[in-house]
Amino acid sequence: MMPMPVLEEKRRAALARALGQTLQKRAQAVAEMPEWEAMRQRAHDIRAGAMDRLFEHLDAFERAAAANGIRVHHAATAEDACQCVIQIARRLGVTRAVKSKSMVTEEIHLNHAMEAAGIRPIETDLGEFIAQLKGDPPFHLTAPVVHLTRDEVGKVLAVKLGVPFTNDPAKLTMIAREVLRREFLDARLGISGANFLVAETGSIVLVTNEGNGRMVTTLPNPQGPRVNVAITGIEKVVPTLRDAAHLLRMLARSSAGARLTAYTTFIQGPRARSSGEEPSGPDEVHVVLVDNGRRGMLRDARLREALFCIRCGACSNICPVYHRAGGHAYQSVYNGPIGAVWSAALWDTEQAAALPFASSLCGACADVCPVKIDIHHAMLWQRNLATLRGRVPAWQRWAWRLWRMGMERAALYRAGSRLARVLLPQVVLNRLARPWTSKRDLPPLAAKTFHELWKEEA
Amino acid sequence: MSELRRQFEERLGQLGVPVVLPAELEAMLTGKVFVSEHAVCKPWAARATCADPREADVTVTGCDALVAETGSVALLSAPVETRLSTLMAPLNVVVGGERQLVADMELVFEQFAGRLRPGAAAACLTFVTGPSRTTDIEKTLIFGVHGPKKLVFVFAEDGG
Ligand code: SF4
Repeated sequence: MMPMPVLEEKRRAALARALGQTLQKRAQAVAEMPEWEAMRQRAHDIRAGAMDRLFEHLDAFERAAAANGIRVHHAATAEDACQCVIQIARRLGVTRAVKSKSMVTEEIHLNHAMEAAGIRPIETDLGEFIAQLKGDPPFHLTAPVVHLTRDEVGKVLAVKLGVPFTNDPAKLTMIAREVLRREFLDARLGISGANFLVAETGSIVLVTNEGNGRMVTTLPNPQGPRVNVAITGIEKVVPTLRDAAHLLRMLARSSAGARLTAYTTFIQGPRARSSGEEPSGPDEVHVVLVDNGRRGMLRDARLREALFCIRCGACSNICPVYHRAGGHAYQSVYNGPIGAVWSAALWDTEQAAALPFASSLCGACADVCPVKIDIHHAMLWQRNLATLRGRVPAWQRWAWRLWRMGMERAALYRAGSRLARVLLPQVVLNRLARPWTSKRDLPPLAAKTFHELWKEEA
Repeated sequence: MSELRRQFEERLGQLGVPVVLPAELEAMLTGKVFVSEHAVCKPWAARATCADPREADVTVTGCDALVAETGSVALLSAPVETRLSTLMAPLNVVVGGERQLVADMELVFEQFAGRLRPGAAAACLTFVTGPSRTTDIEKTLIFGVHGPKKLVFVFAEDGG
């Protein structure tokens, strides 16, 4: 497997500070709940129950949503999902759309598809807005530009928006507020993801701290029809409102150490129908249910748990590999521990198959996960799958074959370990283990083998 | 003071939301003031200088429930407009009654079960927990990204 590039020293320290701060807030929020372990178990059970009868819950959601006036679309592939959104935009006759943060839209490369169709998607989450201006993929599940310094953010806004340079986070935020407020006041198409779908009531649940989730689903433009599209994975369904309430608690505490995210919205349908005309809100609400490989994960008992993920980002915050390599090293929209599992499950490429190998399997991710996903065991299983599918480079297969031969024959093993002392002096070992050895030496092989020492002692 | 109210006020304090007396509110109503049609907002109706919450500097709004566990204000989308009026202005004053207090989100669902049923009237239910905020730039906490920079809470004098 290709070694993952690591971040430069300075950026790594800054990243560690930022992630550490979030983890500390999480720890405080968890300490406040003596029954946290039971809460994790309940969250796990809710998600397990939802996945066990996923298609029943999806049917129930679809019926309830239809009764609310929400139109439900099914997309088997990323391409289908993008086309669905583009068709809605074309029918509406818009050339711009405001978007709130959604990992599924990153997964299906919606922005790219929309731009190719002549419709400009405008990211309105502050972090995503900066990432979009800079042309970068998200660095983290919940904090897309956590790796950038205030100076770097200031430079991006100055260059891309033509505003005077400032590195004051408050001023930078106000610049974004002004630019994006104009977009909100003008927009007739709002695109969002969904944190949960509630089967019993047909609700689309959306959380944001900034309020952009409310903006894109309220659409304050009074001129002309307004449309909301929520794009989300089929796994987001939960049976009841009570289940959603519990998971919302877990999400807020795990992702940001808060008791609840600032804005939590249950979207029930288009703006008020029976009890008087509401002045704001969408005329149509659509939900696009994306599969794109999720059924495959559901069928594999050892990967199914990965579908429980509520995208809190805590596993990235705690992961030693993520700390050193950073989000972009994964070269996938889903990064960090759970991102490695999802990427390898969704995309059958050598690059994605390599990600579960880039882990120490320390299990810190599984310990922090609010829905108790056994993340590192899923990675271990995926290593197995990669080997079975021949996704491992030939030299590695040969190396293990050789090792196995030696382990099965004592004489061969002894001869091999003596031979290694001749053929593999320290310089050669160092060369084999590059680039890890560019700044350090591997210890030389001991002069005598364990067998020889044992014999001498006896 | 009831235990629920004590907890609710403590949460608001932690979220940076001051709880002010109706009399203290006067000084905050400067610039373009929008006052919603909620009955609890009546005392300030005469102070309204702006009919469009999109253009207001200050909005005074009611709410549908208060959640003690999280310090949240619950807003149903109808019949009185609650979306723009709690979202667009830099300062949002929410007036609520002690009688609206419940322990947690689950109880709000129970209370409004009829309006959340499939095919029922509500278009959306929002829980507002503190002002609009972000930590996207170097984890620095900044208020007022898209929604209100400041949220203020007032207990209605007659108990709502
Ligand atoms: S796997 Fe668990 S910890 Fe990681 S993002 Fe998902 S829910 Fe959070």
